[in-house]
Parts: sequence; structure tokens; C-alpha cells
Amino acid sequence: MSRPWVLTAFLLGCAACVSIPVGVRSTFADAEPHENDYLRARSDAPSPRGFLEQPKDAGVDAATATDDGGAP
Amino acid sequence: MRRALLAIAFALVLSGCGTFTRPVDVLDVKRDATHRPSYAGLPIRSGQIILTESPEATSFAFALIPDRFYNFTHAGIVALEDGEAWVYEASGELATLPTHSRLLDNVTGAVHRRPFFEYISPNLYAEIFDPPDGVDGEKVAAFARARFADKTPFDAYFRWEDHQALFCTELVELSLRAGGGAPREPGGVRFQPSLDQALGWLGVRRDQAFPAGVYEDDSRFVAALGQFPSRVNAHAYFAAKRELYRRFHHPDQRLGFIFTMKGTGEIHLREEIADFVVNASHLFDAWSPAPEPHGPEIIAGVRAFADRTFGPAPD
Repeated sequence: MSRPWVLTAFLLGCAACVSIPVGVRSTFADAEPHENDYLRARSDAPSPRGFLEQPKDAGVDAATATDDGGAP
Repeated sequence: MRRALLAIAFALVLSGCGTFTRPVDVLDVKRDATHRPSYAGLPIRSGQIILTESPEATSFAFALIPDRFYNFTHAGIVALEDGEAWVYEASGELATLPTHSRLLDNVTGAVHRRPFFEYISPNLYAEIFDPPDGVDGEKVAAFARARFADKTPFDAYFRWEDHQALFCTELVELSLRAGGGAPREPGGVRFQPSLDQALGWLGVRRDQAFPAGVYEDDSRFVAALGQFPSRVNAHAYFAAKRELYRRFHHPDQRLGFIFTMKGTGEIHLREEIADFVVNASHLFDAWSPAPEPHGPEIIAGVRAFADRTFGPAPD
């Protein structure tokens, strides 16, 4: 009994769907391989465990990354 | 265990189940002669400002808009009434079944009055701050209470110039002014082509922003609560958001590098971005003693972690 109402509600919802311009959809699209993406994770992304060694003497100058991520 | 909980929180949000409640831990409390416990062991007073960070993807989108990075994405006013603590805040929700073609026309809301812990519970993190010196906290709370009483609607378009409807920091700012606080005006927006396109589509102002983090003042810190194991974890999380902000503002970056968007207009964090943020929040777990929550090694360490996760990115 309730199924026709569910279907009607669904169809009404689709008919009144939010309008998203093509340009906006494009700006939310997945990155293409050729794009310069500063937020694409490398396949060898590190684990946080042990990534940073605690400096012997507290202070930012002594904080270093344990690999080639570069000193902060 | 805590790390698992945080990961679950993100997973639930990524899967579209954003509303759920969890226990809230008290992570830090200021205690001195002027901060004596008044509610649940906390030095709560009317007129304090509460800043929160939600696990939803919109909190990452809001952070990209201002002309500099700010911690936190939502703000409210604390009130102590008959021994109970409450939060007044302006917020809205996107309708499950949108009926308007303009996305933000499907957002409805108002000024709400919520029990203190119930309000904090769905959030990742919250900090409470005293109002500025000379501000009458009771008057601050009275203004917010009156906006709740008169059912002031939520302003999904963030129109600062129109106070008939309010967004979160608009309620906080007007409440503080009612208590005698010095006026604060909206700040600027940092232009980024992809973000500008989305803001233009939404129909929100593209020349000003009023981020919640403008009210963060560590000299007025009162308490920290939430799902993180410590304040250091929370501020490492904020440092990860700061790094996303820094990387995103290159003009060739697109919102699709951080978010996915459904046909309804809802956005979600990409999985690799959520992984980065959760992992960054745990970078200092083994440090003893832990760094200070605002210590410079947190931002520097998270940036080094981002360089290894995503590759280097210029300033």
C-alpha cells in the first residue's frame, strides 16, 4: 500500500532536484592524471607512528622528520 | 581505542550518517581564583563563547573561504540557567529530499537552545573561552536567549548586513556587542578560482567571511572537551586542515581534489584526505612530554608529514 507513495515521493524529489551547473560539477570532479594535484596521496604514504622523532631539547628547531619529508 | 573511535566518526560521516552522539571527555580545564567549578566540574559562566569542530565535510569547506586559516567552524554562546548549562547557536540543515533548485534554499534552521553536553557530543572537539574584559556575560546570554525566544531563523546565505536571519558568528557577535563588547567586522576572502565558482553557484557573498576562529583567544581559554584523546591531538588535526588550506589555494587546485559531491549537492571528504587528517592528529602520540597545543612543532611536523603523504607543495 505504501509503495506507490514512496515511488511518487522519489519521483517528485528527482523532478525538483538541486540544479548543479556543469562547471560546478567539473570543479568537483576527480583529478585527472595530468593535473597538478597537491592533494593526491602517494602510494607510499607514511604511517604516523614514529614519523616524527621527539627532539632531545624541546623546540621547533630540533623537531625533524625521520625521512626525506624534510625538516620542518 | 580513541583512534578507532575517531576513524569510525569519519567513516560514518563519509558514508553520509552525520548525526550521532558519543561520550564527551573533558580534556583540559582552567582552574584559578576566578575560574571555580560551577557546572559538572567546569567553570561555566553565562556569556562564554563555545567554538566547535564538526566531523562533517562542510567544516573543511568553510575553512577554505577566509583570507587566512582559522581553527574551528562553528560558534555559540554559553548560558548558565538555574544551575544547568545551555548553548545558544544558529544553525541549519539540508533537507533530505531537496525541493528547491537552489541548494541553499533547501537549508532550514533557527537559533537553537541545546543542553551543554548534548550540543558538544556530535562534534569532534570544543573549546570554551571567556568573553573579552568588560563584557557583561549576563547581557550576552540574554541577547542570545531573546533570539531563541523570537525564533530568529538561520541565514544560510551568510548575509552579515541583514540581521533578520542569523548565521552562527553573527549571533555571537551581536550577543557580545549587546554585552558591551567592541564591534568586530567580517574579514576578507582569499580568491581561489574553483572555490569562487562554487560560492558563486551557492549565491553566498564572495567578498567577506566571518569565521568562528576569530573568537579563539588562548589567553581567555576556559576548557577543552571532545572526542580527541588530548588537546594536542585536536590541534594536530587543526594543523592538518591548515596544511590542506595552504595547498588548496594554488590557483590550479580544484575542490574535487578534496571533496566528492553527490547529485543532491552534498559534499564528502575524499578518503585519502580523511586518512591524512586522522593520521596527522596522531603524529605526537608518543611524545613525552607532549608539545604545547599551540606549539610551533605541531604545524611544522604536520607539514613535513603532508610533504611525505602528498609530495611537496610551494607556499
